[in-house]
Amino acid sequence: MKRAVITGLLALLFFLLQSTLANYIEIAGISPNLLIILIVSVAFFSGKTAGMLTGFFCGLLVDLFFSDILGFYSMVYMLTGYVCGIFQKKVLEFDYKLPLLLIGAADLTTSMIVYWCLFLMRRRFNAGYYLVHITLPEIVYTVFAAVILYRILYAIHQRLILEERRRDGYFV
Amino acid sequence: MKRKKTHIPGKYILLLLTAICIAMIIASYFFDTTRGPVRTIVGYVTTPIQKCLTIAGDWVEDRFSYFRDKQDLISENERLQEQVETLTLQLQEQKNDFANSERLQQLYEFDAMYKQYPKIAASVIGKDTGNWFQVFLIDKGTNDGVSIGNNVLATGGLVGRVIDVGADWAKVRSIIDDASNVSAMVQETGDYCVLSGNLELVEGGKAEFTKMYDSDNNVVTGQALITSNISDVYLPDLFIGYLSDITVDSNNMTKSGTVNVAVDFEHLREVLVITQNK
Repeated sequence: MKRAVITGLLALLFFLLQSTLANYIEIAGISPNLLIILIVSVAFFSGKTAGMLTGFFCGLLVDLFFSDILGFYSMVYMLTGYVCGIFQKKVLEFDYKLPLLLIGAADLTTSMIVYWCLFLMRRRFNAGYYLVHITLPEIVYTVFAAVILYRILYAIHQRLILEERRRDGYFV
Repeated sequence: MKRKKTHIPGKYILLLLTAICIAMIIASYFFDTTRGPVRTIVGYVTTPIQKCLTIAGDWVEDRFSYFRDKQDLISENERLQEQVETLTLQLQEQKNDFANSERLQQLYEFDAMYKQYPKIAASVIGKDTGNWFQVFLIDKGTNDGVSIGNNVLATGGLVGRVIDVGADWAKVRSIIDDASNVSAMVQETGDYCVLSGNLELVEGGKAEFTKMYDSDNNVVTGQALITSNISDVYLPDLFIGYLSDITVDSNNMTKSGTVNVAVDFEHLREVLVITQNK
């Protein structure tokens, strides 16, 4: 329960950061996708269901405020969370390789879906341009941001795990 | 581990949520989600968060100006130690102030150009998440008389139009947004065309125009493009930018090309909202 509330608050916080700080943190007009970092991390820590719900919640926020099609980002982010949850590890040691790879892959996939659904369908055929000028810079920037944010999220996750184990009587 | 709740397998929740998403997508194709009962229900959920967004946006802006003030204090401290350095810093500071006042002065002069319309000034407080669209938030809403469809200007010319509004915020789709279309015309010749945003041109501060019939071949590069008098959402004669290149389409009847947009969208901080719809 506590974990759900904290994840929800984190989602709100990341969403607020993303939309209010974007003007200050963007480099050459590209800002990192902080929500993807959160969704993938939660999925990686807590599994498919948690990742899916976080994705749905984050996507719903984006939909309600910025999207023209209600439900589009909800679905994309939800599926991202679900798929990334497959890679959940029960015993987690701090390691950058897999999570960063997952975050990069998730960002690439969501960008591709956005391009396919929202651009290609309106006869924007220059896929190469979008890949080089939007998607790739976004992935690089997101992965760099993830180097910092994943560490913080991991620390929060560890603390929550300790509390949950104490509550469940692991260390009595 | 103790389990208090009954466990529902993830895939059922996934199916359920997917169904909800698809229903919402279909619904937003058939109903206009910016108005009507859907909007009211959504409003209950979004208003508090939007409030946070406004407050957070204002806070961030304050913080950044606070840091600027702090910078001043540090520079004053340095003045006690090194006279020369301060003088340079002070000069820099004055240049900053000058640039600031010049920016606002420009906006003021620009405001006077369109004095037939009632306008209010607003600050940009947020931007859409993601890098695909150019939609941003401003800190004025229905409380200040902003409504959906209001045209938005900034120093230089047309910025876009309000597509969604709350009590103290409004969402603006800029004319360089990939999904934006504006009915425009060439000021000198009166030839109509459609100005569309294109993500490929955003970086260079450009937009594209299409469907220009110019059968007399009067239109040349460098001519000014303004909003047309036949547009049903944009007020007439708002300045957009200058034509930068023109090509004849393969149908040999219409022309298309690119436009240098007058507004500097990368450094957009203050905008003017015309609180009157066409």
